[in-house]
Amino acid sequence: MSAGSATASDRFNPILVKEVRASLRARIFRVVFQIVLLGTVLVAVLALATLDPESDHAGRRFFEPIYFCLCVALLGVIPLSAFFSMGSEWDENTYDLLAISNLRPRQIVLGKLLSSSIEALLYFSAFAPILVLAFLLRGVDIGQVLLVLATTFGASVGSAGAAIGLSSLGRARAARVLLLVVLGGLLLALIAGVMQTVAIGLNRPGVFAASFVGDFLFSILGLTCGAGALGLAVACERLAHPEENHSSGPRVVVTVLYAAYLAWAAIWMSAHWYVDGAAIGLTLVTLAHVFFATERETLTRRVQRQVPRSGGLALLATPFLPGGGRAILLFCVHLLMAVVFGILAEAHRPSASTAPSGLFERAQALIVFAGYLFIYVAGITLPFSRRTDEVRMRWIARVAVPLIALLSIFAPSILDFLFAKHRYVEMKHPLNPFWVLEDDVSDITLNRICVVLAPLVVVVFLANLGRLDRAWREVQKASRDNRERAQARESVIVTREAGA
Amino acid sequence: MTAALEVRGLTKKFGKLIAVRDASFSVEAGQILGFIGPNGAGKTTTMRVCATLEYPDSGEVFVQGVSVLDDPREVRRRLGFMPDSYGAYANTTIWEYLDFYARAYGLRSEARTRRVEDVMLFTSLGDLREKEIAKLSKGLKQRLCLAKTLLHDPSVLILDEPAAGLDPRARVELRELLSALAAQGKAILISSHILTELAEMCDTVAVIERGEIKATGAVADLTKKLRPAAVVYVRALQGPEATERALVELPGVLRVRRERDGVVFEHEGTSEDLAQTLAALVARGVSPIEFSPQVLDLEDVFLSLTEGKLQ
Repeated sequence: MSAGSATASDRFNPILVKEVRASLRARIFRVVFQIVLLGTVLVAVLALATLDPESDHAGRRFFEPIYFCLCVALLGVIPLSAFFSMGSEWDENTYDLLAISNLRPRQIVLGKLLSSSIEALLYFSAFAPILVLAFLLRGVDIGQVLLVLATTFGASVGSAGAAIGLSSLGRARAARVLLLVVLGGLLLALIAGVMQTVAIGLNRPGVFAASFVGDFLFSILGLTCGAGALGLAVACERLAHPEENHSSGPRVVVTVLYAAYLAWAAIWMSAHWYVDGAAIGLTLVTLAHVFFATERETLTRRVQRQVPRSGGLALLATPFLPGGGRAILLFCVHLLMAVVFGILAEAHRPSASTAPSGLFERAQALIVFAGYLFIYVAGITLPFSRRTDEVRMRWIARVAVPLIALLSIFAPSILDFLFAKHRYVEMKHPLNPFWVLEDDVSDITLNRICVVLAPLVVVVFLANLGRLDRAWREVQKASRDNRERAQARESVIVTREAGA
Repeated sequence: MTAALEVRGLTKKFGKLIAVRDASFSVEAGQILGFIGPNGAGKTTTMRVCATLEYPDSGEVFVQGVSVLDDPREVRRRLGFMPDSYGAYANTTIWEYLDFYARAYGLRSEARTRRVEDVMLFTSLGDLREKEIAKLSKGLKQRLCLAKTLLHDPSVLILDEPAAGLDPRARVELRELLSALAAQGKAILISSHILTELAEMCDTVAVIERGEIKATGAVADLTKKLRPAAVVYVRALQGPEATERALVELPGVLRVRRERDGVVFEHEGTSEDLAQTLAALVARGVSPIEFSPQVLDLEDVFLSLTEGKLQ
């Protein structure tokens, strides 16, 4: 290696350099890459053989199967490879050596993501000539192709981030097998969703730029990137030492995502009143809240020392510090953000003639939806909060929240079906938070739900008050201790200087 | 002067199990401290706390005066840790492995290349630079991990069972490497089950059992503390009875008992006093054909201090 290239390679992330070197020598990478390419060439030959070259849609017919192969590579192989790459640090027992190096968890995780991105680019470069052929066969707009490819690349990087985060959740092999199954299911759903959307868009070129398909692709990008950001934040915190602060980073990311999804809802609602993507985003954020709310209530010694010395700063930092009680505070902040979003939507209500009908009921519905999520998380985790020092209890609580939420969504419909009343068969009942987002919920129904839900939110908040108080007092005490420690240190230095 | 490594009142719990209880010891620069104890005694936990891989529930660990709690990153810069079990990346050569860790420790350009070459030379891995790690023997892997540990030139080395699984030649080589490192002024904390190995290379030892430090100090001091009186075996032509009779009348002789066809007695005093005792014994008509003071080794110290109980 020349001196110049050695200096240039200094700038690269060490993990990236290591992963690329190992990949180039790894048999598995070469085999998978060759299989995907070979499969794609076979599919391309078959597609060409069955095409009518005179048809105006030949390019479109050729593009679809090739794009499917690309989807399998970018949305299947790449995230799975990222998942295994992260998991191998524990499987191969290399994590300890990495942890005591100068690398920060952020660098480790970014290195993994970058190597996944490079792998994705490698697949892109291999697929590019075949996709160009689709364009030459006519029937595919270059703009459409570029939009689809950019979205797919973004979704690939996002899902790789999510896969890294998911892999970091389980250090035991058995846990990671379970997580792999979950990831596999999610990736299959993602590939199916993307394929279906692209197929609709290609067959109805007019709608591509207009609304639905563009929105949907944007939703996919928004959700995968959101999940990716959350996954990376989670992985960074998981890689940090058990006694370190594992929570503040993901909490900040979740807050940013929450604001982004609300903004997304605001923008999209005014254009097409499409809030489902944002609602799914908020659900994703709420899943993160389930983990925050079931954290150990007390701060570790290391985190105690990191609490700001200033009382005011400690107050501001409280919702972002680890601990179940402080997570409820953070959820309250998020709920407040949703309410502010509703007030802003109301304040900027356009004239009746320009506003789509029912627009502001959509905003109200989104706030109600957030209220539901708060009740589920804060209400269900409360009984567990006294025993979250035990790992087992933390996991029971983590399973209990989605389980009880799912039960409350499905049970009324099942009971209704059994007793043949058929009122809630379509799951349109007040215990289902997703129902309030549907278009056919009338203003009166929504208002009625609000009347019941608002006091419930207050009751759950009040029930959590003791927990919040303990969480707040602990932070204040840590802040005071840190202040006193700093003062003691300063006085020692002054005494030493005076002595000298 | 600040100790290179200082463990002060360290306690570490895992749930209800107290892995380490109020442990305190220190290692000075250029010193090799052997950390001995039965399996599950808390050696690895203590070492992992020192290496910032675990945090103490109470107490502190300082590396050159820097607390593992206050500034773990700075501690990692000053400390090299070789865990008892560690993995090596697949599809990676020795040079790539060391180059990666050199990058991870922030070494740049020529400094990195030079340092990698230096540690390969020091650990005699230079000829194997292009060999894949997966194909290395256990001894070579241990040497590679030691090379990795030395990359950032740490002042304190913590080596957890570095001699485990090594053949006799590799052990001798490891001992030489460690002696060379100590001569460079590095403080070394090393754990091993092979007590004879430790006795040869360590200046001092710390004995731990069930999470508690039972004793620390130089092996000679510990033996003296354990057995203040010298224990001597005497076999004489006149038989054990006559020897015993003569011995009990002599000054400095504490306890006498028969063993095999001779007598074992405890003696208080210096080596000169012991020589006089021998002369007095001869003067009383006893003709010794064997007179051997029994020397305590590290194994005796270990067995005397520990009960072999597991936690």
